[in-house]
Amino acid sequence: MNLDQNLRTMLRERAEGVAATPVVPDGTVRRVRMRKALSAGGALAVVAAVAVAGTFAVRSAVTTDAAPVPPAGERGAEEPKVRDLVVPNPNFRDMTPAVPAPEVPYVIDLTTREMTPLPDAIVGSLATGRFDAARFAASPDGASLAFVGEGDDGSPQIFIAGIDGTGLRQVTHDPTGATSPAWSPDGTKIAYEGYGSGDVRSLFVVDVATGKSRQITHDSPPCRLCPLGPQFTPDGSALLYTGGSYSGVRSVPIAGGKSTLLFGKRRGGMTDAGEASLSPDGSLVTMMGSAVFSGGALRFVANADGTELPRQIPGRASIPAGTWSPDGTQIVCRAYDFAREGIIPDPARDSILVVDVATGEASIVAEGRLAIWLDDHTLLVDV
Amino acid sequence: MRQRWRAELGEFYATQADSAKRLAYLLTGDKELAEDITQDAFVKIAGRLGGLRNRNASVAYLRQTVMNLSRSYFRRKRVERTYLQREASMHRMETVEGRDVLVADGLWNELHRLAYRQRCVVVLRYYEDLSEQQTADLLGCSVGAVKALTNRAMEQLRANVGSEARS
Repeated sequence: MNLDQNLRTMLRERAEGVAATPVVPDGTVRRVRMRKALSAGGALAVVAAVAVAGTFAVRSAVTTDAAPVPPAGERGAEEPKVRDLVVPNPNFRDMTPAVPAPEVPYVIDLTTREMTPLPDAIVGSLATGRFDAARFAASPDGASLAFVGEGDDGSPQIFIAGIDGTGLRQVTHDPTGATSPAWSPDGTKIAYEGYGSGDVRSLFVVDVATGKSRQITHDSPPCRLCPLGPQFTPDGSALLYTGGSYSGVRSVPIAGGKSTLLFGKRRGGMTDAGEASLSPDGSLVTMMGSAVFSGGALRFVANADGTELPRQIPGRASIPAGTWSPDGTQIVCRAYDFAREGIIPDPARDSILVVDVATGEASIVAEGRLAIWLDDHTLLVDV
Repeated sequence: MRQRWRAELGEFYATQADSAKRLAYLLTGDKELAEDITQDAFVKIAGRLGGLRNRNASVAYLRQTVMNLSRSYFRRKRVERTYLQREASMHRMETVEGRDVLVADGLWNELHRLAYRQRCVVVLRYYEDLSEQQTADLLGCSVGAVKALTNRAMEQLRANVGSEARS
């Protein structure tokens, strides 16, 4: 058989090997599988290294006293620790509650570790599907949420509601769909990713009271710079966002005008940069990317004015508008994505990490995909 | 209206989800990611199905969305992957489950070492059986570019698979 035939045969066999997709157009499949895998292993929130038939699986980056330790005979003599593989900072602590996390987005008190599911009114309105974009944003006073719900026509749209689920209403009516909400500092506007009447993803700002939207970015197709992850600057005059393809961290004035590259393409000491988030006082920025001196896709903290080289800290993806704690001392992000990268066959890959910006100390605090701060001790965790 | 929209989307999903997932799998080499991409693709096109005139357009639109999402994934993960692979090679693990790309299949491995656009061309031409013109339309390039990408991809596959077999 020649290469062409081999190729056709291999592709067909590989494609046929993919299991049929359940006819459920939402993002629950993988989560259910994760829960089942964890349940089969015993405690849901327990972190452990478990030897299995000569190989091993690792639950998370750290271990706790409550972790079931496998019998010595079943453990490999050279069993590596996850932190030896990918974690650059050895200070990870496990603060994950010992009880299973809710299956729906929930609020966790970091002091008591108490977890409370969001009200049914909000959960029932959430858009289905798994969004890489942010689904939640907390208002500056912490009393309201903006979230991506299912709009009148079934498309994802921005809704707002009290944190208790009262006063729920749809605020965007983008023809294609709106995601990644971010509140303005005065709580009167929300920035979001949408399409408007065009085919290119753009950033918009909607007036919460009137529902009137205004397009802020205007990229032309083919969209190599489709903006992502908007966040208002502390004075509310501009949006910070990620240019498409991690092309850099940019800012654009709300009043109109050209965007400015802040980090990336060697500016600010960064080669690639994205998912940037400004600290509450606007002095620091944390972002994902690779620094000129580092390589890799890592998380960094830098002076917002780019006056010093970025400093590496632990962590992965975050929701820009909810990354910093209100007191500006900590950030919340996702822990390392071990399983997806094929490094560790870890079913519980979705963990939330809180990092002390000054010391770089990091704690895994919850199960979940992404999280935002509600106040200095409380997180809203999306699952 | 909403019920009709749901019914249409449900029917479209039922008939097209598997083929979308297979395409995503061939492009990414990751079954779970293919599942995610399929879900995301349906979420993204959900609001637009009503505006498309015929089913063929819907299928092409879905295929395009799957390709775009797969490409986004690779762009986003490019630097992350470099770092993790470097770390993994420093701490080699003999057994890794769920990593389809590492399965001992030379051709499959080589396919996933191709540049993304080369891999797209190979999958679209040799699995989806699209013409050069259809492939060019999907990739947003000329027929000549498709030919060049195909030639380079096949040359690379031929060279690497051949050398692997000899070694």
